[in-house]
Amino acid sequence: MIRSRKHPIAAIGLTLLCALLLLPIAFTFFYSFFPKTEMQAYLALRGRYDGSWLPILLSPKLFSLRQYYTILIEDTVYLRLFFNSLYYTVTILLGQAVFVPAMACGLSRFRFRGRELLFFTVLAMMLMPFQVTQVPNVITLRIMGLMNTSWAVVLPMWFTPFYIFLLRQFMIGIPSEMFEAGMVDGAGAIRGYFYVLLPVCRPVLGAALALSFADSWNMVEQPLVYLQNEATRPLSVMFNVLTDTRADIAFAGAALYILPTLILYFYFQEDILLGVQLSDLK
Amino acid sequence: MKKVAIRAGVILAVVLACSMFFAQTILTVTTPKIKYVQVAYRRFEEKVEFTSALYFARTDKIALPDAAKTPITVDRLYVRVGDLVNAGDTICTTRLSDDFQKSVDDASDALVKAREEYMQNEVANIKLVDHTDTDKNETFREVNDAGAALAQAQSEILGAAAKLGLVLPQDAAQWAALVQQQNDENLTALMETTLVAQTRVTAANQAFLDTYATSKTKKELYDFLNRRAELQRTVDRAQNTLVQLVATSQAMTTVRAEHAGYVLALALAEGETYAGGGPAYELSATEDPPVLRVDVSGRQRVFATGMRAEIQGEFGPLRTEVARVVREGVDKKYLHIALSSELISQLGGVRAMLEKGATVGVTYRAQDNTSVLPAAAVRTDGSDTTAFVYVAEETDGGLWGGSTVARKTPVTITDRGDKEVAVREDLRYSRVVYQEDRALTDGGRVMEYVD
Repeated sequence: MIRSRKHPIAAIGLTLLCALLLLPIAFTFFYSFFPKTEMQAYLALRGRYDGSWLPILLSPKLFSLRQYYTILIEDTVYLRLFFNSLYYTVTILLGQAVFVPAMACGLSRFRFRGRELLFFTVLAMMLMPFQVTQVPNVITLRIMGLMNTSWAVVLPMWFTPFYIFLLRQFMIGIPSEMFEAGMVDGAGAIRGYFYVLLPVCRPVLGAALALSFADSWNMVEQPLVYLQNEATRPLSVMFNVLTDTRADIAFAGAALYILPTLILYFYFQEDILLGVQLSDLK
Repeated sequence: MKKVAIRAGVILAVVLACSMFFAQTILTVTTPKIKYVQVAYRRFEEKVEFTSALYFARTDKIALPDAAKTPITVDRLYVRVGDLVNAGDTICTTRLSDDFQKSVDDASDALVKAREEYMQNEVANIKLVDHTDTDKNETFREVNDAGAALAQAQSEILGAAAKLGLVLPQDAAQWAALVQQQNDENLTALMETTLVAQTRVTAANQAFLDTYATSKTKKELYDFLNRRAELQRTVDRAQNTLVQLVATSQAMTTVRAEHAGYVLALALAEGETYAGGGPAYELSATEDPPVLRVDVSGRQRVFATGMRAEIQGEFGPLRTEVARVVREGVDKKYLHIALSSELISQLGGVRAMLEKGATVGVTYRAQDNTSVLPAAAVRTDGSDTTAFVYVAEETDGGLWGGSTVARKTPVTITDRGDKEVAVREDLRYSRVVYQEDRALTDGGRVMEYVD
């Protein structure tokens, strides 16, 4: 750990870097209180290519909460899409909570023929970009009759390879004596899974949950491809369309959209760091 | 940190949930509610109420000229204002004034007195009458007799000729030739008689002239004859005066209608004296039926013949129409509302209409079709020329969904009434706001009011 007293330059540099990285989020929240006319005029400067810099607005001419009123009260389409995002995220997390730890446990705790091949397949799928698997997914979903339904988005996400890998790597590090102690007490495989393994994996589960939440909350490609009905798409996909005609609520909508992720991050902050460490990904 | 995150998460969830739950309620409460109307495209109509009076185009004001000389006191009145009379119907009976009766008595006394004086003169000079110049008298009598005989013969021949269809001229010298042409025995005989009478008159006149030239009358006789002639003239004057007075009284005791018509005014009343100085009564001309006249002077509306009119009767409105539009002078303009006999009877008759008039509603109708809106829909900015309406438009916000907004649209008023306004712009396919629960703004969101 770099201590700021011994390495002040590094500390200052990193602080500045952090500030720079946090600047977009800060601007999002800051500009969300600017009135509609001022924000529309400011955003109209984006198309200017005369070499001049985009000015930074430091304070609004008139502090306004009208934008929040618009998206929360006046036009509920934002909230409908917000809850679409929430629905998909929660459904995906619930499914992942059922399948991912179980698959990780199977790949780490049990020895069976084809285990390594299966693990290799998981690794390979983890490395493949979405665009590669998109077409087979579409065909599969069409055959199953799930296209243009929420299952088309949710089902593939229940078996995300990265979290299987993450949990599997953590579970390998758990000593087998803990399971044997449980077996001595009469716990079988299932009870050992629920009462021994999962409590021990709480930190990495938290990390996985947070990361998975962020993934699901921000997913764009899957709903764009699998859902034709705009009313069923999540806010991550429709946000650009919404703010295309209503630039005044762009920042307010974005600020509101960031909040759940931020809250979840603050809650699982330590688990995320611990989980990343324990999975040897640093 | 976890607790802070949990609290923040809970607060966010509550805010979002409350927003979802109360959003529509807040929108409903904060959005102006409107009622709109689909604009009609038709002729602007407005019913305008007027107070009308019964009107006759021509009236005759009839005076009694003799009343100026002999005032009359109305004894009994047989008609009232509004009655329909025929020619010769009795208007009233009168009694002559005491002064007139006194003048009749005076005239009668004067005649009696004149006759008495005449007779006294005759009696006082009876001897002179006997010893008057016989020749002159005889010739004078002969002249009178011959003249009377000639007059009688002429009268008979005129009557006989008239029966035969022959009109004899005034010049009697032409009669013989005309009678001869008729070849009628009776007529011829009468002509001979007339000729004989004419000859006799000629001879008598000549004889009188001859006698007058030669004879001399005594002074007393002369004076007597002069006095007699003077008294005779006095008697004649007295008699003429009395005859005139009696004839006047005959004419004045019964006042009759000169022609048929409605009695429009009466200056006569029972027990009151009428001394001339103005018309005694007023009659309408029967060939002009009565109408209801409405004063529309100064009105900006252009009323025309044929426009629908309704007269407020006792049991409801009665339909009729505008018969004529009449201008009198530069400023005055009237509508004549047609009245049939059935309408007049339904309105209580001419008498009732003369007493109280009638309320008439004339429906003004514009000539061209325009957009007609409720008056509440048209607003102004303070001056009459800048009028506007709010039109409810559906906007498509794309993913944001549609909403109804109020758009301010300027209009030009062509006709304005109490309940409706006609504008020049074609707003047939527009929904115009005519009622709202709070002030509207151009482009502001609105919501239709639903019970």
